[in-house]
Amino acid sequence: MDMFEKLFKVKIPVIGVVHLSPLPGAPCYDGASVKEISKQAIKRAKVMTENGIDGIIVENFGDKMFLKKVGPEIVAAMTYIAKEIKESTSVPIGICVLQSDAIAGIAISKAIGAEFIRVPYYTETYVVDTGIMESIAAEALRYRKFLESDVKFFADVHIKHSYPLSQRPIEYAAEDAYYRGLANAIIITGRKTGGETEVDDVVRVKKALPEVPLVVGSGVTIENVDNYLPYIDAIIVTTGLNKGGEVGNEPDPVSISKFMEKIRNYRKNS
Amino acid sequence: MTKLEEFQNLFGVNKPIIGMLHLKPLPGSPVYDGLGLDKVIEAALKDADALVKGGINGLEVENFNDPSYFPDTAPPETVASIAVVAREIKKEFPNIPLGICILSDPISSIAVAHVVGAKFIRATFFTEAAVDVSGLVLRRPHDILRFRKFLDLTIKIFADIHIKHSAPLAQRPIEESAYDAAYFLADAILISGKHTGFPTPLKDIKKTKAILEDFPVLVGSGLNVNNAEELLEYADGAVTGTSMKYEGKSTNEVSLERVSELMLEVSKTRKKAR
Repeated sequence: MDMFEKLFKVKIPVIGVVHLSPLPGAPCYDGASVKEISKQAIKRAKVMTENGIDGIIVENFGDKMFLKKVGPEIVAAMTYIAKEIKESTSVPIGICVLQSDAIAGIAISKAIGAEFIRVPYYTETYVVDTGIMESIAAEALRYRKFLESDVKFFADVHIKHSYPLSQRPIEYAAEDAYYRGLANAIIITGRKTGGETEVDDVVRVKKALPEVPLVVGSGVTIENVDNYLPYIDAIIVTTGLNKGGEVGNEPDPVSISKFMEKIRNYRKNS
Repeated sequence: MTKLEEFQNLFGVNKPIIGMLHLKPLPGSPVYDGLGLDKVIEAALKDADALVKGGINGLEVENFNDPSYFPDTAPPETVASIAVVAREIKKEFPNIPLGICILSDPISSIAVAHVVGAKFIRATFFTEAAVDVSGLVLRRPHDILRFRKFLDLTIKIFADIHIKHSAPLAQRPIEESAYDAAYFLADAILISGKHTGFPTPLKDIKKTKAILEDFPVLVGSGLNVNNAEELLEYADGAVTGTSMKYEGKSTNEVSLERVSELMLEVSKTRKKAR
């Protein structure tokens, strides 16, 4: 049984991202209490899980510009909210602390019992809007060991909104993230949130590294998912299943359940 | 409104007694047992229940069993773990004013307090410089106060001066240190004895109260049934834990009987104070 099937109890799990509204201290924070932000997040999570989504990532999506190392106010708020989501759903939970604070992500996971973290900048070096993001893998691996945590690392390579400093083929980046960086899964994305992932990127990584758990991580829709399905082991999808398919809109129960029906059929027939 | 009145309003009582919740070791602690946070929460809820049943006026969550404490910034596993435990305490006892004390990081304490809806933090080091087990402890009230302003101005800072388990670098009179902490925007002052559970010297309380009449000065260690009357004649309240535990030992569980005994003594003192 592969890693995803063990964790999510299903083949090709579909993971939805609960985008949190701006948290206390963030530039766009509007003064809502953490309790209120949490209620809204639970609502989003439930729309996803009640319509068949297999896992949830809790992400501080509203906190732009993102910090490389977040403060205790973000750690505390995300812990609180993720714990509430964990208590109101039964699917595996992942934590993604933007910009890419894997250390905070591991700490939160340990405290609430989350199963995995997403790390946008795990290995290598990228130029991004906040400057330069360097690899956090060595530190994250040691911290996970120190905390005696078994949280899984889902690592992006060549992630959206960034430019890798070394312009080498994506399958090389994936190989290093998996074999040297010891990531548990590799995520491939398009150019921006909601942007379509190049099928060619996915195919190249799968062909070069058929044994590596592979996730398509942006721009998946009910229309294009067939292009990815033969090559991937999991799907992260949010925008494509929002109302109107727009970033920032609420998740749409109808789109989600249609999408999940399609995935369930695919699982049966493959 | 004076700071003393604000303090009394927060707890709704004259000379409030705040019960310590000494948490079991948290993940990352050198003595963490690896059995998960649920056990920590269970023990904290049990202690809180005894404290509340016994009539305590406030609760303070502290990572007492994570020695030695980070002198500056607590690590994220501590922040996350305390947020989880404090959330449970707040859920179970929504009407008891709650405080957070992350040793020794007042900034993280403010962060957690804001998130869980706690009303105050205990800053074991707030002003001045001291030497303790970690070496030189240099405080940063400038950062703490600005972080509070940035995140949540309603959170009260209860600041220790000349705290237990440490030696102040400058050997100035304790009332002068208290005056400075109050002047630089603390909301209450805590005065403690030499170590956890050791009685707070009455003379320190008296000297401080003599110059801070309308400002809350609290007993920060060692309050018990035998000294409550004389200490609370001058002090405006207390934070206490050890004496209410079985056999008066800080590592034991809270005893409802001992809480009730102490609170009975306190209520006698309150009546006299009127």
